[in-house]
Amino acid sequence: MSVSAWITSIAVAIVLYGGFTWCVAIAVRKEREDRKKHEE
Amino acid sequence: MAHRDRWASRPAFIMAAIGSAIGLGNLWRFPMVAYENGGGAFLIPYIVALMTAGVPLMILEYALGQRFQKSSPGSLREVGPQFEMIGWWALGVGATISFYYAVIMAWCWDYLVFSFSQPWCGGQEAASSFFAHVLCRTEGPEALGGLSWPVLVGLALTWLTIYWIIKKGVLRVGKVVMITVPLPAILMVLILIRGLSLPGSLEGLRWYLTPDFSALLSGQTWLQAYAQVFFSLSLGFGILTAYASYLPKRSDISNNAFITSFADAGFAFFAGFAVFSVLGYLAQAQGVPIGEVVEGGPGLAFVVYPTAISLMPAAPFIAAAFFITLLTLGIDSAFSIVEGVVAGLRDKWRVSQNAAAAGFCAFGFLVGLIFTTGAGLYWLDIVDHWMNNYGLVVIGLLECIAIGWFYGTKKLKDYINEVSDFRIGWWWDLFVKWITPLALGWALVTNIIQEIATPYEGYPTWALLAGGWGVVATIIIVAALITAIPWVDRKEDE
Repeated sequence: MSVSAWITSIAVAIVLYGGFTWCVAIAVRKEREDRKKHEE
Repeated sequence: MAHRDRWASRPAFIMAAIGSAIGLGNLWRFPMVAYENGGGAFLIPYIVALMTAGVPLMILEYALGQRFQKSSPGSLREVGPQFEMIGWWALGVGATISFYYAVIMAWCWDYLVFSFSQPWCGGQEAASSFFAHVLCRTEGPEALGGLSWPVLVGLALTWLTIYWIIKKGVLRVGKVVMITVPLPAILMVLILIRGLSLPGSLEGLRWYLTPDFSALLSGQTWLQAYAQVFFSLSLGFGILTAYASYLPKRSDISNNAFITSFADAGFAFFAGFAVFSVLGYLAQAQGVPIGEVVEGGPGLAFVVYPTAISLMPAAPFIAAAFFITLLTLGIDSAFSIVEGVVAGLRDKWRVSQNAAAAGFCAFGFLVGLIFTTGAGLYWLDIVDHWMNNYGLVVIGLLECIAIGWFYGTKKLKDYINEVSDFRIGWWWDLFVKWITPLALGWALVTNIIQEIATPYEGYPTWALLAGGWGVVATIIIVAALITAIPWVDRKEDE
């Protein structure tokens, strides 16, 4: 595969899978905070 | 307040929304659209379209359902009584799509059985096996021919499965999606590993990913990117509004929309690797350029892929894995569409979930019979083209106008920001009021111009009028009639 194909694929993978992971991490953190508040 | 079903948890809702978004199109449409529109370069307009149309509209649909705690027609009625009809129109389009989507699922059931019961054949034999023996295809839409019994049995099985899943409401849906969402992803990884181990696979990936940046200058590439995002995310069916209406009012909206959108796009991107690695292998095995084996839609799943599988060792197991992937990808999209319709019927007429689900599934089975005839594939193709290009696009456009120009984006945005994990800014107003409607309007006008210039796929005009414009007109009339019927009073529940 060409260098441009590699660069495009890696950039897209970072945006899509990185974005997904980041959003899930925020959701998990919020859930934990809410549960903590609820327990208190 | 009247009692409303609730998701068991936030992950159950997110998984159901992801399951609804990820469907057969992620596997058999996205890779081909990318290949035909600049390869790796297509991913740039695709991500732009995802962020400027997909995510904003998904936030809008989630917010409508969650804010008003009603399905699409009920929520839009709260926005303004004149907008209720858009909701019924959306459900009508969704219902029509479910009628033929169930038939595609029926083909998958048949091929899953064939995985072990029939020897795998390739090339012309695979095509003849699908078109002549499974579909019993006739020469044109005018020659209905007889019913295809394997498809009929598969259709009954599909509707029974959908009924079983949705008859208990979203609690059961939440449990089912815990299997039907991760399973195809796992199977796709296995198929990809198998694909990458085959000779010629890297050549296939080269065709998929090598960017042709000149394609970015073509309006068609951008149009295709917006169309792909819009069709893939289950927008305009009323599904997302119905699903979100089963969340408590204080649940997150914006983060859920981003998670669903990223998951859907991520799966489509990944599916391209699984598809093109196998296409590369097939091209090398047959000694032809990859352009000669590339095909999208049912041709990819039921002709090209079986041909490639026939050349591999342990073909029955790979075939079974592939068709289980298709079934699990498709079934959660199918039942989400039906749930959207059932939620609308329940909201308006106060019927039970079981009665609405049973009635609609039986009706769907009967209407779907037309697609099990020898001419079924032609009618499916025509109806699918019109639903996607003139049903969903128009609904998306009208939703944006209703919220952006009548209800007011600020009012809905304030609610979204009050409950969400992170805030959305001015960009959402801009996209809902301007960018998304302009993109959808542009797609609509371009499609109509193309339609006038060249009749779709060379079908006879009467068939396009009956299966295309006729079906669209019927849905609009039915939506207007349902809108005119008064809602069953809910005072006793309040």
